[in-house]
Amino acid sequence: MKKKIVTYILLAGMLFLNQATAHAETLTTESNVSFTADNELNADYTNAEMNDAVYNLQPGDDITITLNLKNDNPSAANWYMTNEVLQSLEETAGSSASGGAYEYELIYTAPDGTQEELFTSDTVGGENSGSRVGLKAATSGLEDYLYLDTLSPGQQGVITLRVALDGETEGNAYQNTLARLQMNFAVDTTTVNNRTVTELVDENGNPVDGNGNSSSSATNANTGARTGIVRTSDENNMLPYFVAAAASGLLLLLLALFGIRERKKQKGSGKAAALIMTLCLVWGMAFPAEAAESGAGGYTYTLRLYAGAQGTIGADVVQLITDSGAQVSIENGEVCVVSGLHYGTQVVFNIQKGVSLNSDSKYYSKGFRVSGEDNSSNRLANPSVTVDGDLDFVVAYGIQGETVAYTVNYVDTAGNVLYPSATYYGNVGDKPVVAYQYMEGWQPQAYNLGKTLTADASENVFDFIYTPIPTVTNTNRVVVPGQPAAAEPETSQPDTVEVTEPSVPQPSEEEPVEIGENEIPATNEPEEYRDLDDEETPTDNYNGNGEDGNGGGEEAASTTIIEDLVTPLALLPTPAKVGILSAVLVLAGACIWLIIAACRKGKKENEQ
Amino acid sequence: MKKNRLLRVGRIAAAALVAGMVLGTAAGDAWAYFTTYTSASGGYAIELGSETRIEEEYSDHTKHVVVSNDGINPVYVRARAFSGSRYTLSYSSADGGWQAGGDGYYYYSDFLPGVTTAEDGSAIVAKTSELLVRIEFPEDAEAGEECNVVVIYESVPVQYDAEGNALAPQAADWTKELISGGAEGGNG
Amino acid sequence: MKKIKKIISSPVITVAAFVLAAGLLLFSSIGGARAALTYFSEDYATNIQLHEIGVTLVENGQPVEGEEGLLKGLIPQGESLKPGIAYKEELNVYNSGVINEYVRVNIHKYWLNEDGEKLPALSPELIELNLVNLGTDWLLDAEASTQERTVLYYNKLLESQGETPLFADKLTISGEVAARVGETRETSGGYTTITTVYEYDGARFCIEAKVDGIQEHNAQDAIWSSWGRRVTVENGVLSLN
Repeated sequence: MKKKIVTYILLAGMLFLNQATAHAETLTTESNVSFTADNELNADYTNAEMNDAVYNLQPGDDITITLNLKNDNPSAANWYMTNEVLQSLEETAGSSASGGAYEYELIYTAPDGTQEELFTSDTVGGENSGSRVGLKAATSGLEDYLYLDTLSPGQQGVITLRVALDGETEGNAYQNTLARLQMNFAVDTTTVNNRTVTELVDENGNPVDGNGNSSSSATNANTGARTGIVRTSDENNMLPYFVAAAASGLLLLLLALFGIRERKKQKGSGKAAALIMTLCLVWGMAFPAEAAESGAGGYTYTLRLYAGAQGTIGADVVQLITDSGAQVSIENGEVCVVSGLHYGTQVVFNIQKGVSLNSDSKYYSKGFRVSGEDNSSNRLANPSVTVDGDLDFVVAYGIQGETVAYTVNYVDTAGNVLYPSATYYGNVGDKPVVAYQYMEGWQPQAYNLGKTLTADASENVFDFIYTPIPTVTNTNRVVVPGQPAAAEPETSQPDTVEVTEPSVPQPSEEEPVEIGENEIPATNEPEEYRDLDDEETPTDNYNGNGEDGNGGGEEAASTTIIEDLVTPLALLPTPAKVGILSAVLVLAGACIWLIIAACRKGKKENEQ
Repeated sequence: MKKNRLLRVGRIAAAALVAGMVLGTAAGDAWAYFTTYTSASGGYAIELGSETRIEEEYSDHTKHVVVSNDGINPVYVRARAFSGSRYTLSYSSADGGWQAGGDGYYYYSDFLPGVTTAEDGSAIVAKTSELLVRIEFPEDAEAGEECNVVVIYESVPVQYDAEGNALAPQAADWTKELISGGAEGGNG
Repeated sequence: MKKIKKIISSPVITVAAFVLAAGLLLFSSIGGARAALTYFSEDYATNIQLHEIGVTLVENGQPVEGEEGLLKGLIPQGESLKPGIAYKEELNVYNSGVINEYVRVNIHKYWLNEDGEKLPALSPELIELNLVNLGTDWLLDAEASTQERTVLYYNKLLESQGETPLFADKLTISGEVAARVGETRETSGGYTTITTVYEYDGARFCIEAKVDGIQEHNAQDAIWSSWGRRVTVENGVLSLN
């Protein structure tokens, strides 16, 4: 069967590389592996050498490893390889690195120049909460021997492995980290090549065929048809175990189906069908559970917001400035300059609205941070900035992983909607910081709220709870002479002071939003930043969006139980998994034995 | 309820899916490239609270002028007196501490240090020596004739050159005078 | 036989049988396509390592860091700060990391009141930090610099464990601080007393020096992404766009 071969024109390949990593430092290394006439696989590297070799890279760099596979054996040989990431950078002991992305390309070039892409992706790792960490995501399908090609004597194929570290997402957490990659090669000589061919010759030594007409020659095995990936194995003969397992499995399946049929007969119940459905769901889970959608003085200050390398800035980026004398200018979409700001002015930036990504970008804008201060904090800068100096910010980008929606509500203490809610999207595990909306006469509990996003969108709610700012009204009453003053004394009244509250700005028809008990709004000055992760969430009170509380609880409990079991199971090393499987086999055997024993017993009883 | 159940089955399936995988990573904050920074800050408060006071006595057609520094910073002092053209004024000081500056002012040759505290806790206030301003009455002056003489004094915090040496009072920039005061009076 | 049927048809047995069947069939299918290989190569392993970046601010030959870390030894003990005097304040940068880097310096100068609050009405220009080696080693980013902030880029690559030339050597608080006064006049008897209020009296000047370092490789892109600034790096020489 012919499998798909992707052939690249060399130039196109180079263009791709250049585009992906402009100005990158590229390290290259080349080695040779040959299958000798003595039936040995010789490499011009040794294990020890390779273990000592360390390539010092920095984010944005890439390394290209070229391995020439040469067949110096007189026979044609089938070549196989494995590629495994023994350790990803994220797995370095003591490192908190995560979320970084890689480009990973493993390409085989056949002797005739055709290229076969064994694996290629420019978004390996990233902020995925997938099962394999960082680089390891690339080699999930490459860790067992896969067939490369059949090389005739003297032919040479080339394996090229390119790994690039994404500069935009691999930051300071990746300092002092180490990754280990490994490749192995194996060959077998083809059956075709090993067969003995008998040549018939005439007396002069001229070849003749059986019919006395033409010659025959040894068949050279390079058919070129065996492309694609074939799984092969080491020498351990597991076959008997697999046969036994398959037989036992089939038997048990029959037994189960028989049991269902019997029960149907007995009760006519459809429960078994539901059970099958559940099992099918569990078994056939090839689909991931995806989220719904992927001063007072004369001196004035200047804030700059730089777009950075992955997007451009538009005028929408400035949501609010409380200083009417300030000027905003956008320079070539690269930087937004807000100048003429007095001390204490509040500026609110809106990255979601105001930053456009470059076309076909694999990134998303996640907020902004203080220029040069990547290692200073574990969170983004507040989108609401209180000016106390000249300051530069840069938009921060991430690579999209498992996206989830989060909602920002603007409500009063009674839950009345004061301003329409906004919905944004971020990666699970992100900690976005959102800014309040300015409303005349109202103040929120904090100007900025931060919260870590979970996979459950209903939990990703940022409530700005507004309280009225008390307004003091001084009233001077003056009695106009000549007017009937009733019982009022003629002197002017002492000033009266009334405290009034502002009205709800936009009488909204929306249902009041429920506010968590813990989120008690501040009555005094709003905080600059409030971390909602630090506030304990009373889970028993939480009703999500009006869902039935009891049902939700039960559901959550069952999910939790399964998740509790799943995690330790998933963490088990392979030998342990084999052990468990063996135990299952033993159990299955025991079951079969029990059933047979029961059958015999029943027979005997019948006979008696 | 039906929806709930379906949702639950879906979730269980999703959870079971996780069982087939190895381990999940928490998606963390990822910043760009290797960067670092360090910062240091520091500073000092500036004390400029100089306060000078003038005391004068009049006797024998002469004003005895003494300026004291009640502030904590050292200051330069200069003084001059004004009278009508009918009277001439002559300046002198017993210890030569006041020097004519050529601009009509007489400069106290040393600066007045700020207030310090003595061992017994009392404040030590620096004073200039007496500047004597003698008023010469014309010969046709009548007995009991009154004249009005105004003494102006100015002080300015001590100024230094870039090496930290205090400038001579006459060399200081008196356009930045800080405290000025006057005293008027005098009769014949 | 009925008894067996009863046992087999019990839900527990059915479920157990399904689970076991699933497990066994799955296991049996793992190696379905396996075959034996004959000759194997040695392991080809590659280690990719990422090293540390680090930067240190050096004041008069000593590393300094943190609040109140700067200007500690500016004035000899027992003396107070005198406006007009040029105090020695030699500042430069040391690469304390493992990798080479490019560096820039942000200097903020401002005034604070007794409570540590900023006094934006007081002039940062009166805090005179004398910058040196401008143009030759340090580039002034005029676009980003203001009265309060000065941004300098070191125009060469700073190698690991290397030091830059000085970017500042002296600090002077301008004598003009004594000239910013407000006056009140009071006349009593024959005396007129003029009281002056010094705007800068009691104000605390503050200098904040922040040094940013960035990796050598891909520095142009890294600076764009991380600092926001567009620069050109060619053959180890940095220039501002």
